[in-house]
Amino acid sequence: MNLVSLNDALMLCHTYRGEGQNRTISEVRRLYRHRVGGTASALKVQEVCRGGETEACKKARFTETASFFGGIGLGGLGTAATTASAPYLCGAIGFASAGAGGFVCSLVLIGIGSYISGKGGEWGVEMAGEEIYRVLQ
Amino acid sequence: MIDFYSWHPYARIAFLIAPVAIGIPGMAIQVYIALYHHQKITAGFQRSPIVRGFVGNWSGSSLGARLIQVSMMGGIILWPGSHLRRGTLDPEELRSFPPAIKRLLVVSLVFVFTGVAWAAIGFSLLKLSGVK
Repeated sequence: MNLVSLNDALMLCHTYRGEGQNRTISEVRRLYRHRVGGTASALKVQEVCRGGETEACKKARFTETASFFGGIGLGGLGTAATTASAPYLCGAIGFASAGAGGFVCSLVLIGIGSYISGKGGEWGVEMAGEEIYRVLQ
Repeated sequence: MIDFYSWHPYARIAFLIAPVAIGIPGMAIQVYIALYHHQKITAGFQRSPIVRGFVGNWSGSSLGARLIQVSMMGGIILWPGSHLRRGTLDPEELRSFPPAIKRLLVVSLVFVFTGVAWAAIGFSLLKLSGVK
């Protein structure tokens, strides 16, 4: 799953407070963990669409939805690819028979792979969403 | 480097969506293996430290843990050379791995790596060309 910025977390906390719901920190954390990807995208759309059904709002719906699914899709693929490469790459740098070193090595590789591919997917598929929006206009 | 906006709009959309579209069937095959053939994957590797170590670290019966085990086994089976040289993978156990599952694992990883390579090369070229 993609890593997310502190800003997204703060936006989410703000939203829950803004809705007048007194949630505990652990509740917000739980909600944040499960919903942050979609929530961050939904919040951006909400922000743009505050002024009504403008062109920017319609476009944001396409781009943010595409960005969200692109992040999940390519993030998953990147995770699978780095997981498959982990025994080979970790073996090459001296962690041939696992143990704590091998575990940490594979964990770091999978984390980096997931993050970079997730970000790449968000960027690329968001552009695709923008292109689809233009074609439909 | 690439004049992306001179392409036909459909070509641009296809180029951007292709990595995910190619990779998803590979992921679907991995989910299928994780759900229906999970036991057969690791059971036959009792004398191979690379499998007991790396794959064993991610033990668990949740779908996430199973998917990681399937991906790791796919990598070990796709590139067994270095593990065999180091003696961390038993050649006899590798030979007796079910060929049908091996084929599925290799096909799934070909899809996944093609999608990731497409994204890595294609999106990097677009970034270097100044596409925003």
